[in-house]
Amino acid sequence: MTPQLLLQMLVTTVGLSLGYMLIASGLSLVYGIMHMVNLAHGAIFMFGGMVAAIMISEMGLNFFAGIVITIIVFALFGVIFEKVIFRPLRGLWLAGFMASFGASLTMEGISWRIFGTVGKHISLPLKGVISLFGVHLSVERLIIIGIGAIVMIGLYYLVYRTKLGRQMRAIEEDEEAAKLQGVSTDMVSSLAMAIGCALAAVAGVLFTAMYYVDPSVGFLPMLKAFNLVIIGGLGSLTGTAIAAIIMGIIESFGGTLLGAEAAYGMTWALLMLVVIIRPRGIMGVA
Amino acid sequence: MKTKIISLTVMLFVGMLMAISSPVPGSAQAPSKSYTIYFVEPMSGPAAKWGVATVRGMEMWVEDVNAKGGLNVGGERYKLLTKTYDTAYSPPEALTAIRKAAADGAKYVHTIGAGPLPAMLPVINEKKIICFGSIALGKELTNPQNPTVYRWMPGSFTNYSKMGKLIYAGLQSKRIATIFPNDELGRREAVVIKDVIKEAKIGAEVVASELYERGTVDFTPILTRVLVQKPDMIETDSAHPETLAVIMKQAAEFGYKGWHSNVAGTVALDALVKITGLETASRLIVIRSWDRDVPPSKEYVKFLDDYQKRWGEEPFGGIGETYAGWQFWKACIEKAGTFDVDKFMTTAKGLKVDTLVGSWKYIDPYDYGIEREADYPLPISKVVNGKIKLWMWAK
Repeated sequence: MTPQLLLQMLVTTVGLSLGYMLIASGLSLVYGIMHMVNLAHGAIFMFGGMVAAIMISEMGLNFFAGIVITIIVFALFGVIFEKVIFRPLRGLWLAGFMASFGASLTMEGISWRIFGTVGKHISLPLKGVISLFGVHLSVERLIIIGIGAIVMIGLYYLVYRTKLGRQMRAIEEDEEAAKLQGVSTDMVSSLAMAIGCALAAVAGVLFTAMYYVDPSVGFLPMLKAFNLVIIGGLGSLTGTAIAAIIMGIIESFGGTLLGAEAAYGMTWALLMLVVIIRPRGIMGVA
Repeated sequence: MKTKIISLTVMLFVGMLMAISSPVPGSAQAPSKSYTIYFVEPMSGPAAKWGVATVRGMEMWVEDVNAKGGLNVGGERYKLLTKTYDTAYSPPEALTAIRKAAADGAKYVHTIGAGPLPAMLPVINEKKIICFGSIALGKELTNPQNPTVYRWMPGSFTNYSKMGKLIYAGLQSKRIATIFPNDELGRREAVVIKDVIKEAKIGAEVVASELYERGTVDFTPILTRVLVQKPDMIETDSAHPETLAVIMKQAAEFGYKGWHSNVAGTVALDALVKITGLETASRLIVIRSWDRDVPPSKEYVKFLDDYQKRWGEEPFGGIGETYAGWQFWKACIEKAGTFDVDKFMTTAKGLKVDTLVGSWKYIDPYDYGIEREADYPLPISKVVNGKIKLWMWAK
């Protein structure tokens, strides 16, 4: 293995891990607060990318303005989704799970009609490739890594340094005790869902800028996000982040050194190992 | 009690939304001097883009036929109807879908995908259903044991021994890297390409061979691994149009300046150019996409424009073939004077029909033991300034 190859794999790991963190954090946050698995997370991710692609690529809106509008739109969507679908089913885990699955199928189905079959892409204003010490990194990827990092730092600040974050963590730890302390479960759940959906949508926007979006792209990220949340521990953002880094390392190093098939197998083997040896996940609470 | 009522209401509402929004553009009506053909396609899931787009193209053909008075079979006029079932590109779902179609009395069915088709074959053979497949692979599906299966796109062996060979020899490719989907088609074609290149003796060899899961979008680990072998051609077989575009883009980011080919797949040109840029797009060799300036028929350019106008996007390369395949079916049925499948098979033997993509007939190009592969002039094209330009015909 040459130093250039090692550096290239590390650079790839950073990009992959951050992408996975973005996709999975929203899912983890929603579960942590509401104890509901949102299977529509992948569809929201896809919708976010689509809406942004239409605003930015087809209507000519500025890229950063497009991200801000997407965040606002999907935060509102999250509030409505929580009120209409999850709140009436609070406490009924399976019903919530199936309802979100139904919503996911509906959103994918509608997408083929509204958005068509040809993939969409967001072109960033800056292009080019930086080559240093034999390592190649596109300017687009660098911008997206930068935006992703800012979003993740913002999320961590929100959860660990703000009053809202303390309320979220209180509910996650003990909902009844949090209520007794005057925390409004309804309000915090709405906000958690808003943030979760906004995170999914932002991940979708960045994904569309890096790659493309069409109505089918939500499934695989949803599956990967689900895996990461289980490996990291349901409801633990730190656990999800650690799982994302591990997944990035497996896919980057495993994929480069052993081939994509081997890397794919290893990710599933990791999931199985965690479920067997430590079912609560890396940072999950027993 | 209140919670239960609310939850039931919500679930019912979501269920209704699912039912009315599922992407099944085909319509079914009670036949009355009408005849129904069936589309058993991936309308959801990873292959839905092909399914949805193909059904749109086929429905345009049905509308054209009905606008001109419908079918004329045995002296009677029939309005053509369609019904669509979703395979989700999954063998169990495909089996359910073909069973539903068979229960409806289907005798002529179109499907996409060599992956799900094997699951459907027992029903197809038992009920003697003529199945037109936009499918690759080869003898596994096209053989005398499946006499009612017709293929509307080239088989794996045709793809590589005819088109692949012409492409690699024409470009003097010596070092070919394959990045194929990890499904039945991709795994089979990874073997076929090696065999064909070895036998062809064109001085080329496969220097790297990778399989990826469909839905993958980040190919940097695979490309890091593959480009170490310094290929001058990257063959992606049947990659989705957008997957092909991201592979090309990411390879260019690594400094790759060689050629790309997607022999068993099609291309969405607008998406390709948007994702890769004009310069990188010009390194692609395209098959089964026709040059507007050298169209295969007078109707072809009108079809492209009509599709674009109606759906707001370009049709993939394979959609014209399905339009043409049904044109052949209509001519054959009308000549036979009956919808009977045995008469269809007898009449189709040796019949040549002028279609959207040129003169169409069924042949046995590679010892299938039965004439079931559609033969029509296959274009091999380059991408010049974001447009398809004919390079040569595959002969």
